[in-house]
Amino acid sequence: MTSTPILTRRASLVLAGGALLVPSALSAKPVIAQQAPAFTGMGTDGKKHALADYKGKTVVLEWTNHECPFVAKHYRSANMQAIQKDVVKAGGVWLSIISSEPGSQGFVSAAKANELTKSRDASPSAVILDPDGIIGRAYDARVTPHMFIIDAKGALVYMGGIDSIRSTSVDDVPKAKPYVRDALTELAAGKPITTPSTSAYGCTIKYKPTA
Amino acid sequence: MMVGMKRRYVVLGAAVGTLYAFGTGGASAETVSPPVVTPHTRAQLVALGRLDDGRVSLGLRMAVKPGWHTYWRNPGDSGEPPTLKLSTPDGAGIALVGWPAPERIDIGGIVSYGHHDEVMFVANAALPAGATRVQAEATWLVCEKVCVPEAGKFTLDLAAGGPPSAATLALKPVPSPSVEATLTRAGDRLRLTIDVARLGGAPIAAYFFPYPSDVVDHSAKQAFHVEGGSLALDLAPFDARGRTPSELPGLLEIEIAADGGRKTRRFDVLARKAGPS
Repeated sequence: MTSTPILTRRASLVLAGGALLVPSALSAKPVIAQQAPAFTGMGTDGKKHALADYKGKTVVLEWTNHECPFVAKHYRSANMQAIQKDVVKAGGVWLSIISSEPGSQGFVSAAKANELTKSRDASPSAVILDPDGIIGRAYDARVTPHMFIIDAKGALVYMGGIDSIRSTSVDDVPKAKPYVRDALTELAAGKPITTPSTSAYGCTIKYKPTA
Repeated sequence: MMVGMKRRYVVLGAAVGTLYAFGTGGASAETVSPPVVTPHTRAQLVALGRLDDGRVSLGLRMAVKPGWHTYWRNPGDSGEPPTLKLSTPDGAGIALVGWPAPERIDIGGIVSYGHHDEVMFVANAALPAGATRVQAEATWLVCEKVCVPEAGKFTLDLAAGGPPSAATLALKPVPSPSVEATLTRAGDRLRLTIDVARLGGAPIAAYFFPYPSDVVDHSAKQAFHVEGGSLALDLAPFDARGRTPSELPGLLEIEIAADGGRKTRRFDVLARKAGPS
């Protein structure tokens, strides 16, 4: 049951016989308070990472593309790194996911991804390469950064933007309502999430046409 | 390094200027700022006139490279609308109030609203009494496959120049006629219902561009049908479990059959939630 989204996608691709059918991914949105779509992805550390491996921990998914100006805003301001550090320090798991297709903006080799982690002083638990867009489409991730928070039981508790101000300006970071931070604070305190679903803003994810 | 970068900028600038020059022939007497030329855009601030309340109406005119686009007031599922502010110490923002009709830009099933080619955004600025110069700064995001934030500083001498040129006026966004609509829930959809008589005919195509960016799922398909003299347009809400908003404003674009062809019409729609208020 947990692997349904991935199997469905693969099955639909097989049925399509490789034709460029528009997938019905956008209708299969993940739903707040329900089980988050299961996935297994290849990390830039050379290891496989399955969501199921992290049951019992808070998991944050961050869709990223280091060349996207909206992503750059949150790394140049050190906002993203600060949230990552807090999540990992509190025993949570942070997975940065790159769904850019090969040759498109944001697509990187594992080595380059690791170098970016180092040079930006980032601390994700793992960076997952999703060049076929399978994980991205299963979550209906549309932009970078698009953020998801999954609780210890595997339920989706937040999806949407990192904060409330839709801009590429670093100056807006301290002025914005920090949705992800607020949700993490409420989750840690065992409170319901005040704003579980917001409109994400950013650059469109550069999906493979068949994804 | 600096010299090399500078030269590259100038060469690109010249190319952009030649390719996307505004059609004014360079001899226009309109009141316009020197152009700001960035790698993807040629932009100017132009005076459109003075309003009765003394404010100056300004046009932010932008021509972007072929294939690239800027964004509408609601950029849809990606992007960012342009901004304009006065270069005063307090940097007061000037709200853009006139927006050209957007295009639906679908990239891999992710839908954004924006503009290709040449557009003009309109803002009305309150200036200090007797001011003859406008200094303003704009920011905008321009995207093709990748997105690049760009910005420019404009100086507009209000005392030097005449009325806007015909080319500028042709770019000025035209307000669409206002139409009221009813907003209801139809299953998991938000439904707009509009009297077809107000639209000048039964639409053969219809699309609603919402003004707020957090009510409708922009990438979801919109479905419409005409029944009993009303257009019913079904939109997927952004948050399926959220409440129906009390109002939903937006731009309705329809096509109606006319003279053996199709005619596009646009309406400024204010949909209000039906039922006891």
